[in-house]
Amino acid sequence: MSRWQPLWLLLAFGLAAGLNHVARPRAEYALSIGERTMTTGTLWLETAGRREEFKLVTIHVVAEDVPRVLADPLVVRSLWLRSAEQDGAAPDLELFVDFTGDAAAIAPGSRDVAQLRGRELALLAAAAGGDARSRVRFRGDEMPSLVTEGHLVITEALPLGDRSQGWRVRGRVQFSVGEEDRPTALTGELDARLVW
Amino acid sequence: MWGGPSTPHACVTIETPASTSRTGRRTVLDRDSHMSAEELAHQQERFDIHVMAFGDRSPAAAEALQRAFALDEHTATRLLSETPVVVKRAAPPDVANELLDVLIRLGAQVVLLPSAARAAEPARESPADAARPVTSNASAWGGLDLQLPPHARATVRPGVIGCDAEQSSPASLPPPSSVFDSELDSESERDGLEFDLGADDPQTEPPLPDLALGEVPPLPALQSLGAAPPLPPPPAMRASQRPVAPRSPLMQAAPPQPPAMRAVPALPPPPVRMSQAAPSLPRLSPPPVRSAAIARTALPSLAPPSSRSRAQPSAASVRAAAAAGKGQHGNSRGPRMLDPGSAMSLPKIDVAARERRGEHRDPRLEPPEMLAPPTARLSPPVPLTPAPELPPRKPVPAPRPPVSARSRAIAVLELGAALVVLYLGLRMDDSVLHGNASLLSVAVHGLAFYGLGAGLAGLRP
Repeated sequence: MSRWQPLWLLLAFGLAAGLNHVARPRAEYALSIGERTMTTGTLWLETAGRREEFKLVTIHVVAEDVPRVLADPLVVRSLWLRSAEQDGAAPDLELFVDFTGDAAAIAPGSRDVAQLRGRELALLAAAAGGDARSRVRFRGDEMPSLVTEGHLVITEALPLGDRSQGWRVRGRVQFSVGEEDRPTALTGELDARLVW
Repeated sequence: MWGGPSTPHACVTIETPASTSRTGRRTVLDRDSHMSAEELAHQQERFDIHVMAFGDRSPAAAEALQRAFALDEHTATRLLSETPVVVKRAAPPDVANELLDVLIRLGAQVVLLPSAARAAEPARESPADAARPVTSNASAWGGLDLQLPPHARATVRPGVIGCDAEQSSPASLPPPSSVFDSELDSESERDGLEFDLGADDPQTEPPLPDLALGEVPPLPALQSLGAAPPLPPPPAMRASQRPVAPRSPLMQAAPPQPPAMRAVPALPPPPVRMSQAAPSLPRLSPPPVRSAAIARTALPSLAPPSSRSRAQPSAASVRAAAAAGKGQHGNSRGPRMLDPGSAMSLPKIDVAARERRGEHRDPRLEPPEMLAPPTARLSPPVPLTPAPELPPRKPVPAPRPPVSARSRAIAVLELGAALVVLYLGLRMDDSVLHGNASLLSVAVHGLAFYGLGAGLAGLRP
């Protein structure tokens, strides 16, 4: 073994890590300042006899196909639920719901909420094609609790005019937070505006 | 020695400072009664200088010839191209030696033949010759008996050129320029430049075919050099002299000869020596009269050496220095006689003055490069430039030993493992290429990349 071989080994590890970071597919999760702060809905969560209300901003649909190296593109079909930001601080609640399902993926430009109604949509621990995590911070907690699993069912979707105005949706949500060995189950109801 | 039959009437012309300073002309002294028999024999030895060929006919050689004999370019070029040719007639031994040296240095093959003219020289110089002004000899160049073409006559430099004035009798003077020019014009188209065989006494000059020259090749047309002013020849000589026309082929075929010359062919065949035999040429005993002062005082009108260009001195200065000071310097070639004729026919250089200034150099003491062929010696100096430093040579890497089979197998295994890892990562969608690899997968992929590099390096010879 020459003196250069350990160096080459380290370089190989660095190359692998760097390549993994660079090659990660990224979907666009972006909201304007108005969209992040303007409240259009409400989410009520109940846990251990305690009910807490979160003011939600408009629910956005993130639907796109992100290309990958030597693989099929990453299909991102997500509902992005987010509480309103206050004073520039991070939102207290942020959930990512995947509606891809087992069936064929819904076309990104279909803009049909009827396909989501009545389905049990899985909550994602992390955003598909993004770094954000699903979390919730109750009032009085310093740190948010990470969502491990859960689902969302849209029970009602009322269009607000044309498709550009979005829908008024209602539904139920159930998810677990905390560590996996001692999860905390949360249930709640939502009434919010959805835009696709 | 090559001495021809002794002639009791041999005449030597000597210039003395006294006579020159008083009259400005040379004084002819009849030294017959004052000279010993040996001295007379030396005085009677005259040589014709034949240039058989020039080894170098390049422009540089022509330039060297120009410088050596103060020729114009046209004459020098034609002299180079029209060999064999006689460049000097009846030259005294020392003059012949000097000319031989110069010509050899110019790359010429020279043959010295004893001149039969001196043997047949019938009479001493006439008083008219003594009365001839020294500076009138303006048609010889650097001691060569060459005749300028008509267009070049006006370019003769009297200050540089001398001639054998003491040997030129009035009968040998050229005809009037009108006749001469017409002949030159008519013949210049045919044979161009002509060279004189009879610079001394054309009327007594036997034609070459009559001489038993043996191996000497046919010579070109020869003509008397008009070194002297155009004085009318004596009436008795006009019949034979007027056809100076020996330049004409017809006249050469049947040259008019005085009765005295008819007997010349009876002379024994003279030996012919090529230029390579120059060192064995006859070295004459010290002459009865030798002095550089003669050369200086005999031609007071000639330009002093200080006024001459230093660009042209090479051969002329060598000749003059040798002719004036050979005996005094006492070199290995033995003493040489300074003949007044040679002093007149060679470029005059104040050797004594140059010696005082330290400028005079013996040609035999010059460095070898000065004795190089004229082409090399007179070529423009090439500036010596330091050789550019070459960049240091790169050490040639030692050839790599061939790759052993074991190393090759290891390399192939490393490559294979790396490829397997990459394939599995992609297959399981846990690959760094997808950007979704776990930490373990990243480490494995790191090893795979290392294996790729090691395998490629191992397969490289």
